[in-house]
Amino acid sequence: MSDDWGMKVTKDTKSVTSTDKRDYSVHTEDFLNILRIETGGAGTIDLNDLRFNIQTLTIAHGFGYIPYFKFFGYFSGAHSTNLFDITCPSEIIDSAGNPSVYVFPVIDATNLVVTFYHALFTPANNILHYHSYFGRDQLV
Amino acid sequence: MRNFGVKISKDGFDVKTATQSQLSMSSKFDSLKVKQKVTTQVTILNGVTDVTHTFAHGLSYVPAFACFVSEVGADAYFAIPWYDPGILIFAQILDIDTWIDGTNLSVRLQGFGGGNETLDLRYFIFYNQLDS
Repeated sequence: MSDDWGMKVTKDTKSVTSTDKRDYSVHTEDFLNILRIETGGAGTIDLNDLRFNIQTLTIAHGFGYIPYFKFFGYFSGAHSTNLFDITCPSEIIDSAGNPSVYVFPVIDATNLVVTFYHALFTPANNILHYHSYFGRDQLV
Repeated sequence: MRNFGVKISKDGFDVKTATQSQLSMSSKFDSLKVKQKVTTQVTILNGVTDVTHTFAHGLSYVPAFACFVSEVGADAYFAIPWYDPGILIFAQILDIDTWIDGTNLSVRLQGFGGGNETLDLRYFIFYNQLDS
């Protein structure tokens, strides 16, 4: 960027004249930007039907372009402290501790669509709690 | 920590008394600083079951990163690592892994080798250091 404008905030003990971007908690001088995140949809889905059918969850973001995204989830019950990063296609354990659900997220310009497949075990206590985050930065 | 920096509260909260969750931005915490967004394509050829694509990120340390993949011409993207759930999303690719070191971001595609297939890749490289 040729123009000398923007905002930069150093980490404690670092000099504001540093040219190392790692020394800053915020730095807007780059030709891109800091990653801007919005909280997306959150809620629960009952995967009780998974043993018989594929199930899907659709979370609308409405940006009109394909954004950066993250998707997290956990099951109610004994393993409710296991919060999984399931942004990538993943197999996660259910409340009994068994790998029971295969999670397959894909994003387009309108929706994040998460498809759930039955994995090795039949899910027990099937309520999946989820949180989604969308970035204002475009993938495409 | 000394008392300096910038913070911005969410609507309806007083920035002087807001908790961290009531702030939309606080320079007390590091932010993900985007160095580069890369668009590229990689082709796995007929008869090849394993190909690794590398991209030199130009930093002298191991940076944070994120990768996404799509079929060429499709309008839907998956996050990497990626593996097929048994329904053959891509014609030839079964497994995609990614890793990074102090020089390169690498993406490895593994598949059947039954034909050519080209995929769109999107990389985000961040200034934030992973191994610090």
